[in-house]
Amino acid sequence: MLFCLGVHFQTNKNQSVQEYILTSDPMHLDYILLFSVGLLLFFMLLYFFAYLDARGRKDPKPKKYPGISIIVPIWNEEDTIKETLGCLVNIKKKYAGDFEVIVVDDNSTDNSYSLTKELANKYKFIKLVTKKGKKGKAESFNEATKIAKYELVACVDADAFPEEKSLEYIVGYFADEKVGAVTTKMVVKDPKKLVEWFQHIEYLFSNFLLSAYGHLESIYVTKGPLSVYRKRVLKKIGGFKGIDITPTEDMEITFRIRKAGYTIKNSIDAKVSTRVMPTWKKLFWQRVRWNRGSLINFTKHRDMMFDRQYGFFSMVMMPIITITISMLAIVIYYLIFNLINILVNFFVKMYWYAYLKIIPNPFIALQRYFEINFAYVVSYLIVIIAFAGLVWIITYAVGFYESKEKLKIKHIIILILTPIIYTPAQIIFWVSAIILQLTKYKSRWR
Amino acid sequence: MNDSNKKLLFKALSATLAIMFLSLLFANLIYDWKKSNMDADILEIYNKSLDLKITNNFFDSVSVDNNSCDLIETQLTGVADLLYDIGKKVNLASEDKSNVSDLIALQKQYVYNNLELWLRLRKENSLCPQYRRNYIMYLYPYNCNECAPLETAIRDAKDKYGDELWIFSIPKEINIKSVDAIVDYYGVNYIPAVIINDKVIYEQDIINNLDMYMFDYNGEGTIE
Repeated sequence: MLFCLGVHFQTNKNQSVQEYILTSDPMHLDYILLFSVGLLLFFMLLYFFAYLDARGRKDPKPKKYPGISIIVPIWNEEDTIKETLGCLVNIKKKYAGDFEVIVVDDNSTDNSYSLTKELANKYKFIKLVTKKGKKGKAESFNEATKIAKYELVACVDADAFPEEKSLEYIVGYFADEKVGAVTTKMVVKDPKKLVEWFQHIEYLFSNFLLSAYGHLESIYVTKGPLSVYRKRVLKKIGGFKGIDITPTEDMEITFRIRKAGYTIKNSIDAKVSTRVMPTWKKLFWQRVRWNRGSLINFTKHRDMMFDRQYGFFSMVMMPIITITISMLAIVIYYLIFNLINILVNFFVKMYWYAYLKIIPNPFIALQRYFEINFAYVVSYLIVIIAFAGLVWIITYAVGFYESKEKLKIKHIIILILTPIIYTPAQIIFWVSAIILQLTKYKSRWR
Repeated sequence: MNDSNKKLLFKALSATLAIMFLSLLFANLIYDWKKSNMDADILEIYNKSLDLKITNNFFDSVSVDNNSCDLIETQLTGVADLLYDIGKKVNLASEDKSNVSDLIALQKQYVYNNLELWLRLRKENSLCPQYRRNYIMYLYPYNCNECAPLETAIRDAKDKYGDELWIFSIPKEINIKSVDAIVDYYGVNYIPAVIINDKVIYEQDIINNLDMYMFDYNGEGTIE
């Protein structure tokens, strides 16, 4: 429908030819884009006000320290496992309650097993088990949950490094019996490459979103690097679902925790640093998996939409997220429409150059693109986008503040590059995810 | 949904509507400012054109010999200067397409003055051999992909001949009767086309044999 609307705006048979030429500019095509920007502005402001409302909130101090079983699923993690377990050893020193670490090796082919074994021999609270069942992170976690001794179970990725006091900040929430899971803020560990810096900035922004979602009781991902669950709840809902059901088990489980009548909280002060995808190719496949996971999970649990018993999440957030995903259709339409226009014009021009046997002058062709007089290029859309951009910058600033990150020149450069490089890349990830989902291409966890 | 979240929702909605309204207000102010600037430009061009026409008519009527080559040359350069100013304004206005009616008005002024200059050039070419210049009248349709190579060829010719060659670019669909009259008079049956020194030429010839239609062409790519 939206696709047809866009075309309709551009062609009006009553216009004379010269009017058609003069009016076939973005102003007339962009009413849909204007609507989209308005919606995004609304979402951003909602999150921003929620964040302001939540400011000053503190993690509840635990009256008692419940026992925690930390589960670390591993598969070929020889580069990071030692450091991750080192962080957990430090946490154990600070944590007042009972504590165990269960490392589940999914039949690694590198030195992960022997490195972990070394540490397990040194520290009694570290257990190493070899996976028996099907491959996958969800299955590893479920198997470990069965042998976990304590009431709380935490999931820690093998390339994640939780801060020493993280668990102290988290466990206080579980005094409320209605809390089913608690998740944390994430930052990127030592970003070096450009692609890692982009993800770092993205994670900082996601920390702002997490605070807002938390206040709106709408957290829909319990992050893999560090999230804590009540074991009783996990048993009740049947644990994590495997790759054959969803490629993003940490998102899917939040829907079922809600359906079981529990809430999900976010810790204010707990923080975990994690490694991120070091190459664009790896990032592409990770994001395709995440995005396909979103599509699958929202479709699978669509029965929750507008169901009052799930509160703000089902009444507002689910529709908002669904609309945001749908708005991608508009962006894709714009890209395809403009690309076709450019290609058709280019090939027709080339045909005429070839037909008339003349060599085109690229300098003159390029010159036109630089002749824009900016004093005249101001429209309604640009003003509104400027406002939306301002709100966007403020939310990023809040993300920095939330993540206790010091602002550096590099951050600003990456922030400027984000809408030019990273945002278009994210659109490509989404388009690919939609295509692969529609063609039922098999998801891969690794 | 609890009351505090409901409040947040309404707060965000109000702020969004307020920002969008404010944006429209700002954009309207900018639009009005631009429009009044453009209106002033059009009026100024219109007045200048009229002024120039009256001045030229005045000299035509008071001169002993209104076919004097010096007088024709002076009048010709006066129109050319004005045309140059209008051309710059049309280029600027073309970048901002929000003011369509004003842009068409400005473009029409540009075409009128082009035609005025062309008529004077033809007169000078027929009466004053010492001032004779080549001209290309380029008639093009809007949104023309096949025009790109023609425009390249015309630009190349302009680079080659410099001030010896004057170019008149006329959009055929501008809806001006004098343009239609010229098209009919020269029997132009396909657009894009060019009229070089009163001869209608189509695509292939423009590219390959343009030199042949120039005055005083010596066959070696230069004018004697």
